[in-house]
Amino acid sequence: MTHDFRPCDGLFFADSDDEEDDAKSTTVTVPSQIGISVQPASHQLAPPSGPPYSPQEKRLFFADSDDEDIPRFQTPRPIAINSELIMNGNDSESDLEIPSFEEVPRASSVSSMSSGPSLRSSSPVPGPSHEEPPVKKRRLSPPSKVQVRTGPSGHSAYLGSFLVGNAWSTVRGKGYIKSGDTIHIERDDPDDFKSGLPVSGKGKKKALPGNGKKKQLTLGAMLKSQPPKTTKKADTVVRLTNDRGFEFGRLPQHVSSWVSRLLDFGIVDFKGSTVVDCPATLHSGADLIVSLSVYVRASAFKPPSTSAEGAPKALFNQGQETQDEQTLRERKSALLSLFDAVNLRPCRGARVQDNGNMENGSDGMNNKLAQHPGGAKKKRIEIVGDGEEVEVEEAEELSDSELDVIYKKRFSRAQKHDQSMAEMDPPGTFTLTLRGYQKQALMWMHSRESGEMSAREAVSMHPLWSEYAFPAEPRDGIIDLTADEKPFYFNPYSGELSLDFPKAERTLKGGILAADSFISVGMGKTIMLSALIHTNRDPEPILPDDTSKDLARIRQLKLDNAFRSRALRQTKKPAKGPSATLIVAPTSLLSQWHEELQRSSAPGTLKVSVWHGQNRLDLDGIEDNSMDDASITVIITSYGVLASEHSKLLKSGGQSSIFQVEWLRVILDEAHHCKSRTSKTARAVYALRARRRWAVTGTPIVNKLEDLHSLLQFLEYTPWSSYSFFRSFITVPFLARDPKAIEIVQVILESVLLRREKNMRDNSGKRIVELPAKEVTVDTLHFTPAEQKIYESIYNAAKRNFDQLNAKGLVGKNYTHILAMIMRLRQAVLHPDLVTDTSDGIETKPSGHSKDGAIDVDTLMNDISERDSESGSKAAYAESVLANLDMSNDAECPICLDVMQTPSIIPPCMHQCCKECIISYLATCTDKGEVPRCPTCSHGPVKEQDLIEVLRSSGQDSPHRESTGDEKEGTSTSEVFLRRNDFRSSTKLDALVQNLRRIRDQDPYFRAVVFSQFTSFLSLISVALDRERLSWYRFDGSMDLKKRNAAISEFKQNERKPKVLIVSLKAGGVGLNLTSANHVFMMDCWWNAATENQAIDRVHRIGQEKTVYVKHFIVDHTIEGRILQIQKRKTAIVKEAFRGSDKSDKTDPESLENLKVIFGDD
Amino acid sequence: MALPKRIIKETERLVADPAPGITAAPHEDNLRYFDVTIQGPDGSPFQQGVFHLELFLPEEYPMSPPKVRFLTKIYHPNIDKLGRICLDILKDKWSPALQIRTVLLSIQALLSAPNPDDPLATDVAKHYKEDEKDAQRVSREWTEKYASK
Repeated sequence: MTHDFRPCDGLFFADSDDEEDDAKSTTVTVPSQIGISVQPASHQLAPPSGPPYSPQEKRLFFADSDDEDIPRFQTPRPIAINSELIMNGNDSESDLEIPSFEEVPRASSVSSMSSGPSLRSSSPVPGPSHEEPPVKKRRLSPPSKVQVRTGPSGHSAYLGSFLVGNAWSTVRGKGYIKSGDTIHIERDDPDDFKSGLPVSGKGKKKALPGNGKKKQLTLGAMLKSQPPKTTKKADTVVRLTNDRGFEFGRLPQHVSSWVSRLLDFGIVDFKGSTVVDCPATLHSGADLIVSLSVYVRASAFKPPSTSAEGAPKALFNQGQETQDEQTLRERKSALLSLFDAVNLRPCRGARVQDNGNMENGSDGMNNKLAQHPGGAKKKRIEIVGDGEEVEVEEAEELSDSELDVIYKKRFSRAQKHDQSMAEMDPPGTFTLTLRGYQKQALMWMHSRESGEMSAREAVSMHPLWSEYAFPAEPRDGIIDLTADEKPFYFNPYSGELSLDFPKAERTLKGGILAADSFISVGMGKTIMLSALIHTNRDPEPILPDDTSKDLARIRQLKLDNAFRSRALRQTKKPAKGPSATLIVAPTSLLSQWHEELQRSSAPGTLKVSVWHGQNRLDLDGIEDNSMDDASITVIITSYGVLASEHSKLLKSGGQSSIFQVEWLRVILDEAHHCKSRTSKTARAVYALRARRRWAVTGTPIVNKLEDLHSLLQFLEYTPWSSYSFFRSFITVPFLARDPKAIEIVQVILESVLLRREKNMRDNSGKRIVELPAKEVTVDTLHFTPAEQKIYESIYNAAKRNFDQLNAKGLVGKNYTHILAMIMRLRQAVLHPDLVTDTSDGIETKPSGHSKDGAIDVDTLMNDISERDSESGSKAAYAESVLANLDMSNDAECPICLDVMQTPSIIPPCMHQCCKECIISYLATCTDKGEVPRCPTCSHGPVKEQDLIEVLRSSGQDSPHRESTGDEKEGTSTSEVFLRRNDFRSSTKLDALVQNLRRIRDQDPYFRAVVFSQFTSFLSLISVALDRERLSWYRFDGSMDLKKRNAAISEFKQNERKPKVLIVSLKAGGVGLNLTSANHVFMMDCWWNAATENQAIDRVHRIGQEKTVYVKHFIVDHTIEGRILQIQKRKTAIVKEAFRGSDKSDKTDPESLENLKVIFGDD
Repeated sequence: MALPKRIIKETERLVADPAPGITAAPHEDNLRYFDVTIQGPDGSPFQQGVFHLELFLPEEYPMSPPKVRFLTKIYHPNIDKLGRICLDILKDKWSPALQIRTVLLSIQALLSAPNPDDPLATDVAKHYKEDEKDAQRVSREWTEKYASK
């Protein structure tokens, strides 16, 4: 680097080359980002080949020039300088004349990690700006292995000044210096030091160890509570010399520790430094106050590296820190210390911690961690507002608030852009009309695929960089062009400096389409993507290097197939590049994609096929096919198929056409299916070959930041697609509670993610989606006594069990067992039959009789007449009862004295009671060992399944029943029908049935969707619906694709009758479009509300025109209330429970807490 | 636990439309506990007497019968010294279709028609069996002595 400073030569010639400097005998090693750049030993006296300065130059940065060898400004150096250099360059012995030079005392002292200079001033110290190269460098170390780029040499730019209050004198006597004298800052030459590090000493030739070995601190290690190492033996001596070259003092250790690094690495020069105050007569150890002005050398800068190619790569190579890395880290620390000392703060971008120095920073981290002993896996409970307990997890799990923070940026910045984003109309082959926001989304997606930047100006700075402004140099007589704030950029993580704006990288084609995780999709993403397929339909050209790359890949994947692939490729090569689109979706959504794509396309323009099931065709031909005609090929497949194809592929000799084809575009629907990067599915997805990649998901971050990584890896979004990089820069800092991690995530999301929410507004202020209202009610139900008993016995057993385990501390080991108990409890709430055997004669499935248990009244009458002879009067009563059935609909139940809701007739006496009352009474009798009998006449025994229910339906209902024709009418009036009570209901079933009846009264052709987690309960529901003569359709995970599709399409079919769809929460919670219904029943509660809401959004989404009524059924005083509590606490034990068995021996205390909630006392 | 609707309904009806010769009023602090009076039926040895009883509706009511007891001393073969009543509907013949009113009417009927064959107070029953006239005399005396208004 250059060290000569002319009064006016504040120029950086970013392009000037080190070599030329060397030639000028100012040798400097400039560490470039990656490693240390090392120059061959310089020839000090070589003729100056390109002195990079000229007096008439203004202070300018030629930030963009990067040729290294531009030979301009070859003005010969002033001789004075050269001569000085020569003089200084003689040999190290020449300095020995300095009296009482104290080599020993502090030179070897341990460099402390103290956090900064004790005295610091940003006030500029006016000083002679000039002449002497305060520093001369000789490059003495051998070239290091990593030679990245020798930083361009040039002039230095003023960075700031600071005061050092406790520099100390090494000499005794007068006349060395006086206040106001210019001083020079010098380092020893590391000549005799066998360090591999290229350390460039100052021009003076003190031969001292250039540096030592710092204890290696990897990034991860720093974040752990490793105390700062104080055992470094590095030489950090920084000498102060006067104009005559005599050393008179040194910088104190806490300053020299980093100043020495900066000098060694050739990052800065100290020019115009002065003595502010000193005793007239020096003595050894006397305090000196000096002012140091710092100039950063042009060579310290280089164009930003934002990819994994650069320094970060070295950084995240944890475990072993190479010397290069060490250098980098020291450089980074030193720079941070410097910025701190001169009070330089970033204008924007990455935040430098106040204590700047990363090693101090690690102190700070340690402190933070110390406040939370145990580090990562901590959670705390906060009481907010109304006293509700909110749990904030402090570990990898993201709390809601953290997620909010992550997305906040998107609201504040990106989405502002989104509002005003241009719209784009789809081509004519797309037959549907897009809404405004969909057109915007199309524009965005189109521009992302075509690589244009217009849609959302991506002017984001790279997340790891921050911007600084050069301070104005306080010198008189200088035209200070830096006054307009030339910025420079610093990466506080790698220590890189740059003059070029480090753009957040955006090379991938594709992105993430997200919808709010809690309101969820229903935004017509299928349509948007269909529009995209139509819009960007042209095949991409075959890249010249692409084929070979493909081949390499294929060869790698399946050796024995290489020949064939090549042949294949050759035939295709002259044709077009990839043009087909592959859509990967959950199995349940395949047909929906198919339908929607067809629906949105003009006939013949889109060739959609579902690649699923047994008859999967060979896909090899699709690229050929697609060029035959004008249609676009779209293949839809499922994650399951993909994963199994992939494992087939991995088997030796296996092959799978889906991985052979190079797709124009791959779309992952519900992309969080592959959030675990090690899962088979995820690996299969990564193996797909595609030009453009899209991930669609409602929850890009499910509960860990690393969920995002998997998506980025699929998108091949460098550098974040590299797991170690992601982990080093996001996960680990996040665990260490560094807010930077969140910022980085925000920037990443900003660049790749388009997020749409139902409640977002467009630029005219209207909601982008107008949805009808959604009314959610929670029905709190109460057990019948019988159910209560069953529930309590199970609960008590479980609680006893838990208490015992808890007392012994064995909960963790028996986690699965406890969860099984909880599962049983949850089922007991739904229906006793789910947890008890049904050997008591009451079958949950109707046997023998018609499926709805209907009984013909005439048959009943005949039965009674036959018995006439025996008991005339009773029979007469019975007959009158039957005859009056349709009128006596306000009869009072003899047991509850209320009007009978569901009258039940007790055969053969035909007395009536409420169904509930009589069942409860019969149970009491049985319990007491008595014969179950009629409460009115004591006739017995009465069996529960003999009871006859009297059902009255409103007149409106009759048309449908007649039209279906397969149901028996109980009486000629068609108002009343009877059915056998051979089905045991439950509180929840009854509640459901009653709600459905009520709805049917209001809307004879209603459509309702019923969700439950338990398929066994779905079966019971279907029986109950049968008995209500309601048409039902079932959708659960056990059904194959065909059946599922049939169920959905039948349910959607427009018929004049009420229909109920019963859906398993897990299978149907996502993706389905069920807007034809507007009633939703949630039979049980899931551990987290988000899942439930997503299920509800099957109905409450675009296309819904009516108010949506949602009803949750909760049984009071049961586990369900506690599940709701846990829902609120927002940490579900299931997270641990279902995450894997490896946790079994060390249970998170939080899970234990949750269990205690379950088994706690109210 | 909240009072079942049935009990409320029964109480309302007892108050609004009392059975002849019978009163029943719930305690203010315990609506399941009733103060009951039954007038001795005409033509019985208990004529002119007003008998106090207590009636309690257990938690299981109406699945279990109410508990009823005479507080007034009475000389009756089916009612013992402690006032306990031997009546089938208060035991195994209970049916939830029965109510407070029907129970009290049954008790009133029991006063008219003692059943010494199913005795609770064995000495009284023996007395009734051996010398009904004398036993009725004692009953009248007791009524006068303990159950006069």
